[in-house]
Formats: sequence, C-alpha cells, structure tokens
Amino acid sequence: MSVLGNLLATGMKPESPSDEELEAMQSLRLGDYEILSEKLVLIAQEGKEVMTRMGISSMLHSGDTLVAVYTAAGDLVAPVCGTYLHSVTGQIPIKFILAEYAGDPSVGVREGDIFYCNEALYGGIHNPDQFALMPVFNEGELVAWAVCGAHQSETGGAEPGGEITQARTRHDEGMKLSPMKIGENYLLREDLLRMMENFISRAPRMQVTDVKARVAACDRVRIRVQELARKHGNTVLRGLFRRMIQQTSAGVRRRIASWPDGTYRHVVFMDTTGHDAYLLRAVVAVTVAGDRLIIDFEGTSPEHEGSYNAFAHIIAAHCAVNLYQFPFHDFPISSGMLEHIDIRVPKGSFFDADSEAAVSCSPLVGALVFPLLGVALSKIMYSTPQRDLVCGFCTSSASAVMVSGVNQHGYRVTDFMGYPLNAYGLAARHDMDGVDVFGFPHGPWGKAPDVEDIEQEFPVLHLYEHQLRDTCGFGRYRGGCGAAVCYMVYGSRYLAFTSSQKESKFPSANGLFGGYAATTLPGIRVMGSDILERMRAGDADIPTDDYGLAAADPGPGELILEHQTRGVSILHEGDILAASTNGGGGYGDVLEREPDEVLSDVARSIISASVARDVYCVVFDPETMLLDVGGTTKAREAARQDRARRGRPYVEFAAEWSTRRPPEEILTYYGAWPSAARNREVVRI
Amino acid sequence: MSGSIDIDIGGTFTDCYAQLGSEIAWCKTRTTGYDLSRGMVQAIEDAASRLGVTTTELLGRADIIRYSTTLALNSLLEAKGPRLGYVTTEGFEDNLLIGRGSQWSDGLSIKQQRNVARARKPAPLIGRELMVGVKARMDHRGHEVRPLDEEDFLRKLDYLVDQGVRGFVVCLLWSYVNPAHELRIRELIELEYGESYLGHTPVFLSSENSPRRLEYTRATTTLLNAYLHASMYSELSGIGQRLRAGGYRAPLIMVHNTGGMASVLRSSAIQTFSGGPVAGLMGSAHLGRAYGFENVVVTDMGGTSFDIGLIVSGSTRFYQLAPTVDRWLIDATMLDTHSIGAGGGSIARINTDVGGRLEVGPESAGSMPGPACYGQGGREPTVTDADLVLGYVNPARFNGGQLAISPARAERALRDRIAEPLGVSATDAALLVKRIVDAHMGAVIHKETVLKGYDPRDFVIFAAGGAGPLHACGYAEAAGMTRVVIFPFAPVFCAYGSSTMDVLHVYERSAHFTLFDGNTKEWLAEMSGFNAVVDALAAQAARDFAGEGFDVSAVEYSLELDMKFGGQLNVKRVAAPSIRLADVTDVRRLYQAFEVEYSEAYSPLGLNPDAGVEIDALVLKARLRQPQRPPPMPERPAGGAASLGTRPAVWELGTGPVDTPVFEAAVLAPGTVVTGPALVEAETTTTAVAPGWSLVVDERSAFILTYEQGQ
Repeated sequence: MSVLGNLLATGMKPESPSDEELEAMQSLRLGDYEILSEKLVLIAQEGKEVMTRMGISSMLHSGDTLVAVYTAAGDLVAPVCGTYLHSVTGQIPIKFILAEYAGDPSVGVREGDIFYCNEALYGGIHNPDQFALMPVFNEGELVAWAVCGAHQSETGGAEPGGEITQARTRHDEGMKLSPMKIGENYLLREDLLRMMENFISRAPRMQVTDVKARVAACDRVRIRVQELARKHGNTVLRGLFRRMIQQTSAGVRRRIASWPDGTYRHVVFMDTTGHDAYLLRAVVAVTVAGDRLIIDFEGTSPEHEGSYNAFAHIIAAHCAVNLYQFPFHDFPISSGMLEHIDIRVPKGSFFDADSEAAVSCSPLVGALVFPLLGVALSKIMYSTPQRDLVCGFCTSSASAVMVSGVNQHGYRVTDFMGYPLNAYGLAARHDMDGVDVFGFPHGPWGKAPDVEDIEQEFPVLHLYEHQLRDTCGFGRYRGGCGAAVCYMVYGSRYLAFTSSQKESKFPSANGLFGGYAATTLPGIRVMGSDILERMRAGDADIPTDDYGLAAADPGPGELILEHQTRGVSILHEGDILAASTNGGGGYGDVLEREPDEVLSDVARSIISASVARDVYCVVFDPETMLLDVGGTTKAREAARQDRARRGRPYVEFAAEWSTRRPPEEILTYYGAWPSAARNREVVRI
Repeated sequence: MSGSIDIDIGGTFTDCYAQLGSEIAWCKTRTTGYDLSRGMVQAIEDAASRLGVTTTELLGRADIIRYSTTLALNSLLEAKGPRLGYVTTEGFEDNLLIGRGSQWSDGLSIKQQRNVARARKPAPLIGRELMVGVKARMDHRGHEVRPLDEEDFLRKLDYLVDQGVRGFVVCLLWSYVNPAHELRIRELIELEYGESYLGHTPVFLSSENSPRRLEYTRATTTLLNAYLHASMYSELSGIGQRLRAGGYRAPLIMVHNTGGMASVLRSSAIQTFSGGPVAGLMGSAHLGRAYGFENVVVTDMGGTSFDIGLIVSGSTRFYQLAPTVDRWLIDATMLDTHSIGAGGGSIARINTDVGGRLEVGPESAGSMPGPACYGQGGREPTVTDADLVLGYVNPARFNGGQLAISPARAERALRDRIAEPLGVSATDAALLVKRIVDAHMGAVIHKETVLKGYDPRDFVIFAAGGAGPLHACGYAEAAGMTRVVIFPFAPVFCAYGSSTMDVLHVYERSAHFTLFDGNTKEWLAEMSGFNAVVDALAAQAARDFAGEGFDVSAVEYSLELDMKFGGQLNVKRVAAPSIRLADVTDVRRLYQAFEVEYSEAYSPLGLNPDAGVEIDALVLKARLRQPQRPPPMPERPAGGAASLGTRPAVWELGTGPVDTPVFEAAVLAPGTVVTGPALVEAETTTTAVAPGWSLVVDERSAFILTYEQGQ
C-alpha cells in the first residue's frame, strides 16, 4: 500500500506511543495535565475567534470549521470544532507532509513554513474545505502542529458553489491542492495567492481574505503553543500530548465495555445520484464486542457516475460527528477517541468510490451516517446509563442553496445561503420532542444569517422564511420541524442558483421505536413571475409559505416543482426559488402523544389539522380548538383495533414483504436487488 | 458643599458609596428583593450615619444619585413580563422562534452546547399565536417594495387586542433604514386603541429601540425592553418616590452597559442590566489614571462567577461581540465584561471517564446548598472548601463573621471525593483545586487580553470580589502577570466606580458606507451622507442633555465606527480620528486607524484592502465631564496590632501546612511590606500573599502585590 493509502486507512488512529513519549509522561507534575490541557483548548479557541472575525465565507458563521493543536507526529490533541468532521481528517495531511516532504530538501518542514491543502484524496472531506497547517518548533525541535480549516463556498468548478451536483468525475470540481507549502519564514507567497484567485475567479475576494484568515489563526495558535513549549519545555509538552490521547482512549474504551454486546442494525436510502432521482441504499451494522465498537457499512450500494460519492475516510469522519455529539460528547476530543473503534467501509461502494470519482458533494453522502448511527447508537444506549443521549439525530440532507453572480455593489459573489443550511430539525428524544429548526447537522452550533445580512450582500429579496408545517416526524414525541425560505432575484439582471439538498423523494430521518420518518420536500421555482409587480401594486395575496407558493396561480410565470438536488439554473429579476429543510424523526407511537400537545402543535402551525386528525387520531373543533376527549379516546381505540386486524405473524409478513420491490427504473444505481451487490461497470473519463 | 450618592444593587448586597464635601463613607446592606427601595434607603441611612449627618441632610445636599444594578433581569428569569404582541413583516412571523437556527445553544457553556441530545430552545417570551405579519416590505436601501396594507393590519390588531396583549413589539425588515411603516403602525395602534380605551399599552418600535442592521437581534433587543419595561419602571418609581420623600431633588441617574449613564426616564432595561460590572470597570479606569496604571485587567471573583474587564491606555473601549442576556442574543453596545463560571462555589470533581482527571467548575454549588463547609446540605467540595482546608480563610471572620462554616466538613468532602481517589493528602487535593481554578482564570485573562491585541505582561490586575484577593496571586501568575492591586473599598467597588463616571450618552445607528472601493480603487469622495448621520446623532444628544438640565455647550463628542474589509461577516470597532469627514485626507486617516487596530487585534497577515473597506455602523459618544476626585484615603483605626500571629497554611504540594504570618488589614501602616507567604485579613475578605510575592501598603491603604521574578 502507498504511503498515502496507508495513511487514509490508519491515519485517523493515534500513532503508537514512543518510548520518549512514555518517559515524558512521567515528567508531568501533579496538576500539569489538568491545567495545560485546558490551556491548549483556550489556545485553539483564540485561534478560532481570530479566523471567524477575519473571514468572509458564510460557513465561518455556519460552523464548518476547525482550529486545533496536533502532536509533532500529527495526532489530534486539542481541537475547537465547528464540526467534528475535521477533527478526524485534519491529521492525515500532517502525517503525509511528515512522511513525504520532511526529508525532501526541495520542500522540507522548517520553522515559519505555512502549508495548505483542500484535496479529499489527501485526507480532506471535499475541496471546499481548505486547511492551513503550520509546524511549531521550539529550540529547533518540531513539537506540534497548528491547523485551521474552514469550508469555502467556491472552488472554481464546473458549477458555482463548490458542491458540484452535475460533476461526473473529479475533473469537474475545480481547485484541488494536495498538501503544499504556500509560505516560508512566516510570509505568504503572493504568487500562490494569485494562483488561487485565478482558480476561484467567481469569488476571488473571498478566497484571498479567507486564506489569510486561516493562516493568521494558525499563526496565532503556533505562537501560543511555542510560548507554552518555551515555558514548560518540550518534554512536558510531549508527555502532556500523549497523556491527553491516552486518557480519552481509555475513557471511550470503558464506556464501550459497559454497553451490552450485540449487533445493532439500521438502513436508510438515498434518493439521488446528484444527477437524477434514483434509489441507493446505505446500511450499517454496529457491533459492541467487549471494549471494541465495530461500525460496518457492508451492503451499501455501489459507486456510480453521479456526484454523490464519498471515500472511506469521509464516512469515518461523519461517524465521528455522531460519536462525539452523542455517546462521547462528554470526553475531551483527541485522536484517542477512535483507538477502540473500527470503521469498515466497503471498497467500491458509493461510500468508498474510486479516486477519479466526483466527491465534492461527499458531505451529502456522508450525512447518511447521521440517521444511520443516530438510530443504531440509540438502540445500544437505550438500556445503558446513556439513555438520555438517545436521539435519532438528523436528516441526511444537510445542505443549502448556493447563489452566484454579481451583487448590487458590483462584486462577484458566490456563497452558500446559510439560512436553510442551519435550519434542520433535530429528532425526538426518549422523553421529549426534538428541536424545531435546530441547526446544521454537521455543526449544530453554527449561525444562520439574518435576512438583512443576505439582502445587503446578495441581489435577492426574501418572500418568506419560517418554520414549515408538517415537516417533522410524528410520534409520542415528535421530531423538530424544518423550515422554508423563498428568494426572489432583485436588483440584478440574473443570478445562478444550485442546490445539493436532497430527500425530495425518500426520507432518511427515520423514526425511532415506532416514530414516523420526517417528510420529503420538493424544491419550488417560479420562472417569469409577476409577484414583484404585484407587491409593488399592493396585492394582498402574495404567497407566504411553500404550500401557498405551490398552490398559487403563477400568473404569467411557470411553476416548477423539482428535486431539491438541482444543477445550475439562471433566474432573472422577479424569478423565485424556494428551498426547505427536513425535520427530525419521531419517537414512539403517535397514539400515545398527549392530545393537548397535538393541539398545541396545530395552534403553532407545526402540524396541520389533518395530521392531528388522521395521524394522531385527535378529535377537536377546528374553530374553537377544543378537544373532544371522548371522541379522541374512541378514535384511538378504533385505530388500535385496526392495527390488530392488520397484524400478522412475522414470518408471514416477511414472506410477503420480500416479494415487493421498487420500480425498476429507480434501481439503476442501487446494485443488485435486494443485496445491493455491484452489478454494473462504472465508466469515468 | 455638595454631595453624591452611588448605589449598586446586587443579588445579595446593596452597596453604597457616598461623598459629602471632602468626607467619604461606604457601607453594605442586605438587598431587599421584595422592594429594592427599602434596602437602598437603608444603605443611604447607614452612609449618612457614617458621615455624621441625617439621611434628609445627605439626600438634600446630594447633587446626583447614580444607580447601577444587575437585577433588571429578574423579571426575565422569572418570566414575569406582560403579555405582548409581535408585529413583523408577513412571511417572517417565526423569526423570534428560529433565532438564527441554533438558538438552543445561545447563552450556554461549551460543555452544555456539546450535549446535543439534550438541546432545548428557551421558552419564547411571546407565544406563536401572538405573532402577526403585516403586508409591507422595504428593501435594503429603504425603498418601499410593498406598501403597508392598513386594513389587513387593523384586522390583526383587533385580533391581538382580543387576545389580551398589553404591549406591542414592532420589528419590520429594514426598518432601521426606513422606519415609515413602523411609525405608521404605531399611529394606527394609537388611533384605534388610545390610552383612554385600554390604559397604557406601549408600542416598542425596533427602529427606535435598536436602529441596527440584522432583524433577529433588533427584534430581541426591542422585545426584552418591552418585556422588562413594566417591572423596571414600577421598581424605579418606588425608588424615586422614596428618594423624593427623603428630600432628594435631582434626577436619578442610571449606569448603562456602554459605560455611559442617563436619567431613568431616558434609560431602557436592556441598556442598564450590566450596570454594576460596568461601573466597576469605569471606576478602575479612574483609579488606573490616579495610580499611573494605563493598562489594567479588572477582576472580580465572587461565589459563582469570575468577571474580567480590560482597560488599555486608560480606555475601556472594548465591547462584547455577541452579547447575550439569559438565553437571548441581543444587539447592544456593552462594555466587554467577560464572565466565566469560576468562583468560590465552583465544584471540584474527579472525572473517572477520562482517567481520574480533576476538574473544577463550571458547575457551582451557588449559595444554596453552597460549599460543603456551609453545612447546608452541600456534599461536593468547592473552591471555598479548598481555601478553607489550605488554611487561607479564618472561619471566625468568613463573610464578616456572619456565616458559621465548618473546616471539618470541607476537609471531609475534599478527602472523600478528591484526595482518596487521587491518592494524595487532603491538603494537596485542596491545593490542586486552587491551582486548577487559578490556572483557568489566568488562561482566560491571557486569552481575552491577547485577542484584543495586547500582551498581558503589560497589565496590572485590580482584584475585587469576595474571593478575588485570595486568588489574585494565583491567577495573575497563571496569566504571566506580576502585579496586583487590591483597594480597601473593594467590597463596594462597583458603587465606587459609578462615583467616578462622567455623564455619557451613547448613540448608534447602522449605516453602510464604502470607504474604499475594491473594484474602482477609489476612496469615499461624497462624505455628506456620513456627516449627516453624525449630525443627526449629535442633535439627538444635544436634545437629551438639554432635557436633563445639563449645559449642552460643555458636551464633548467622540466617534467610533464598526468597520470591516469587503464581504467580511464581523466588524471591528475603531476609534475615528475625527468626528466628521472633511476630505480624502480624513478618509485615509480613518483607514489607517482601522488598519492599526485590526492588525493589533488579529494579524497584519489578514489586511486585505483590495476587498474594499466598509463602514457598517456609527457610534457617537457625548460626554459631560464630572469633577474627578482622587481615590479616597480611608481613616485607619487608632491602635491595634497589625500582626495577628501565625496559622498553618499550605503553599506547596507535598509539604503540608507551614506556619504563616497573619495580619490585620485595617491597621497595616502605609509603607508596610509583607513578604509571602502571608495572609492579610479584612472585614469581609482575606488577601493571600503567595510565596514569591510581596505586598506593600500604599498611602491610601491599597495593597500593591508584586511577583518577585526568579523566586
């Protein structure tokens, strides 16, 4: 296996401790570990604040970021994450630089060097994620690395926005930098910045400003770690790092060992290849075996020529999001987290495609892990002291609309619309509802922009932006609802839109223990709309939500209902595009939800009256909103009896169920039915 | 002979600092939560008595009473606000519920934020059924895209009134640029439901309450003002009545979060809720000038939190980036008094999940049950328990001797829960707890200082709060700092602070100007728009000062600007070299000021003028200077021994207690030098002079502690 191949397979796990490190651990005095490990986290926080305050990309607000300290060998010890994705992948580029360039006199690793990369083949997630890396030296010795990364919504690909939904191979996806040196002696090379600007000519201002923001933040971390090394000595730092890795590793191991042994399974489906609506399958089997956790995705559909493929390490990084946000949220994060967790991704599946595959939309593929592990880990934890962490997590859509064009101030701009991105619902818990419009699944602490933020920088006028009715999964506890946003091109002749959202045909945010899945949602466009004129004329009947927009007479315009994965469309002034986000899955039986809670959801427009009546079997007066207690009891009893009538022995059910299959025309990329085994050749040029 | 009275009302104590001619007195009384005016008057009576005059005489001779408090939020925390209706642009009725997506994480610690599975949004202050949208729309330039549909609004107004709302919050998109629709909505409400019809039903317009870009925080700021309005004014009217009855004739002045102050009639709740810490910061700036310390880190370590603020080159000009009140992000200029969960009540625990790591805070035992030594049911060891086991605290004098504490309980808690699992002695466990909390506080000081572009070694620490003097050497050392000052009036530090403040009004408005165009490479040539905003703000200031009875001609103006490179998400607040822009030379000077502040705070690596340079908001400060008095010189009681002997205290790991000299703070003579390790006891606090540190008493009875390098 090549150096790179080996790193991609094993580089997420910590390096074995050297004798020097084990010896250095002994040099730590009482209290050093507690005090200095906290100090490292504050250093990373300082770096993150510098980057966020200096940057442009909306993803800095939305939280697709990482600032972290790594050991001299490239293992993670102290991250501050907007998303846990990068805490896993950040270390592969360092290890690659050390393996391939440190001893190469034409490159080398020296004090003051600034490295940079954005290539998924070298350990990244996809090329919108750009990373700056700096070695930290003290007394001539390499003691640590500082890394700062953030998603940037333009890569110079065949479509604007960085996530190229119509890409067929990697060659459609724009700038991809393997780890390279872009500065020496603490100076950035102007020629290389110019090169990047040239690649990213749809948003050159964003590219240069954000490279500088990453590097400045990295340098801040470098300075602080260097100060720490000077004060405490390289040996203390070495010992501290190793102890941080070991303590996390041991804690994770103990928690796994406390869980009941067994294999826990779940399956979800993806409804697009990025190009067209097809059905693909993703499967997980999570095995608890003593103090090891094995996450195996065998049975996942084969790779394809579309844009929705990923690599194995990208899937592993998405596992980290679930693992760090749920069962191990209370542990300090280091590379020790994954020491006792094995992640197995089948080669040739769309979770681990060929190196020529298009992967700029890989987060949309990786995000299938969210509901997969959300449900599987919940099943494990239900009977453990971690029951409070039971939660199906989120949909796998996890993306947004991208906009590109010349803004009203004359600048070329391209960016994610951070509002729908940060507006997905959280699934229900074992004892409470999910969270309405919870956030961005990859980094749920991020912030959506205000309408006034977007309208100041982009030539659009929002028609509406609010919670979207009936998007949550129903259940004893319901999932959080999603949201809808609607843009009209305004103040510009035209604007390009793309979107890498999905789940317009098939939901992934399944319910837990009887809860319903979240709803699928279409994209909506109105081309040639006269709404702007009608607004100016004081028309009272302007649509205020997706339901209204879809039902309204488009007048002279054309109403288009489409999949939310959409390639570039050019909208002219007055044209309209609406996007929406999925809710979270429900928990438990709908017939056990308190009728008062159902009516409260109706009153707050979280669900419609028909859902209350038909799904929850709640009888009420829609005018007064008064509950009919007797009627509800009767309706629910009837529903239970109906279930009993439909009930059959499992063997009988399975025999009938296994004869069913989806329509052939959506199975082209599924693999063989039902195993999803590879059944066709993938051709890429 | 004139006088002044300064009051700071906190959760537990009401502090008073009073001056009458050259005489000064300070005192503390218990806060009377059921009626704040009662405790306030009691504090004034106590101060009058210490000054040797009657309360009536003190009130009658006072030219000014300044008042700061952190209690404005109680109504919010207790959800006791009135039933309000929310009026916004149609299609955007949910914006208070959505709150930029991750609203559930606002106001939580990082540890709480990481626990995604337990995420919950805060309970809304207005129910969804009371949120209505109006058919009206402005664009980002303030041009009307859709006229206001008045008939539709009146129907919705009737609905809200039928629902029993007792006030209206109005926040429409782009209203700060063009408030015409908001103003018309207020007119319509007043026409339809005037005071004679419903009684007083106030209308709060976002374009007036918070004329800043970004509708979510403009709405929350307006909403919180509306929500807290009634209780704040009923509280203030109670205070006003009592003071007037006592003979006070001038306006009651409130300290604002901006470092300014204004009469209560011109103060909104959201402007004043952080008044206490801000007054402490302003007082520190005054003391810094008097002592010749240009750069100061002001620290206050209490029972549950550790607050810090920064003074650089004598200025307090640092503001919170994303101010949060309880669980609500707001948009208000607030002096940056950073707070973390570290105090005497912080709980120490062994985290067995990560190999027996000792962690301190952020969970706090609070005042109930409190530290284990309180004997109120608390079982978990806290920082206060550690301080007691270390021998630093004299149990007989804890909290002025008003609270009996048990060293045995403290030791048992530390031994059982920390020492035995770690395999160390109880005293070593206590010292580890102290070192960890000190290190955390020191690291935060370091981070906050350097993030603003400064070297902490160039700063001196002012230490206040019940636990500050005890921990100051520890957190100073952890921050790499070598000098600490503790003032004798530290127990009433915030009240003292407001006594030093100028009357300062702060006016702000979002307004977008391109200072340098990245496309055309041209500097701003047409300055009239910019100057018109400045003039409008200045005119407002002049009206307000005149209304409060001040001499407008003596008002001094300064200008700060929120600036950024083109496209950036965040702004940097910059002191403008001039109030108005006369020509391109002024424009270039302004850019240079921005470049310097930006480079210092972040990095010169990040300068990017080719992206364009933009102004996002203007902040005009109008200041009426007040007479500045030197720091007070407290009288020392005659006689009494400075030395109180020795007691065992622990300073190093593994060595156990050593006999440590103890001194009485009140009788230490100026010029006295105390070398660490030593303990200096005062009425309500103890100063721990750590090994390697020395303490010098200055002529105003302040303690100057210095770390002697190399020891």
